[in-house]
Amino acid sequence: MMKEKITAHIANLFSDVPASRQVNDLREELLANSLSKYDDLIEQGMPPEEAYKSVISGIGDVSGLLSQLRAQKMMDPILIEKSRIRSAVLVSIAVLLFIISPLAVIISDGSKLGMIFFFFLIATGVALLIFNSMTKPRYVKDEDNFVEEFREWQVENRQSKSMRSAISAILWPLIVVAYFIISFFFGQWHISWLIFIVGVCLEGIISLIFQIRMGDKK
Amino acid sequence: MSITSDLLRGHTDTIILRLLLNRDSYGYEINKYISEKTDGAYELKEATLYSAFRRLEENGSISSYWGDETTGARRRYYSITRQGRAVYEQNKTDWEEAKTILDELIKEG
Repeated sequence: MMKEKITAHIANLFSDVPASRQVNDLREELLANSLSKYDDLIEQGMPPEEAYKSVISGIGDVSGLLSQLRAQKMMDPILIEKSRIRSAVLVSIAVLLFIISPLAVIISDGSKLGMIFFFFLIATGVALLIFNSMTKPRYVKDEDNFVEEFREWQVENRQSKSMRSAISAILWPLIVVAYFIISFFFGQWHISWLIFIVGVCLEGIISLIFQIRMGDKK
Repeated sequence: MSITSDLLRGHTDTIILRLLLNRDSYGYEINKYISEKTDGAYELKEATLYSAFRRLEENGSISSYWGDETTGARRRYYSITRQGRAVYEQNKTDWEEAKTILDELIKEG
């Protein structure tokens, strides 16, 4: 059956293209048009074999079109620039929150409300950092080959590693600061050391988040 | 012939827009129309056609929707937008201008 041959030929053309909505749409469109053309040619009295050849040669070179579709999946420079700025803003706000957070305690003279506000500021900052790292656009491969995949993996790895160490670097000084603030203001030395255990938990949660993220990509 | 088809290919977008002015259409129909209108002298490759569709859709000259064929694969129909009509008019004017200039430069005497 020539129609099956056409379908198989088109499926073959798309065999090494990563599936996406645009690619599926294009395939369906191409298939519908090719079959219409085939029916038309048969109706005009063309022998099936000849009609098949005519349809196939009429498709032409789709490689340019396909690489265009691949390229669409890549980031365009404006988007990269935008996300870079967004990322910088988020990190700056987070750092600002970390820096001003002790003020909540100092201004409120160590009241409970001040404490709550202090932790709230830090939590918001950490949330911003995590949100930033999770929504950061990744390096998108343009060719499906080993080198590109390796590079992508490398970038991901480097990115999440540097993010993790950055969070740790921020986390521990903050915990020490918080420890002294809480202890001095409340004089609760016997209990305030618990904050270090909270810190260990936080660190664990953060590394868990990163592991889940890495796992998602595989 | 190769210069001719190069020249023609440069105006694929305008040709498509012109055909869509009349009514919504799909890939094969557009190509068939081109082939018939030129007595079989010119026919677009499917690949060229779809590249043009994507390009036109991206710049907002045309929009697309899926037909509701009950048998076989669905057809993708295209319709011209208001912006597309403006682009068509502009391209037509440009072409007239280019034609005059080329005639002037190429003709003998």
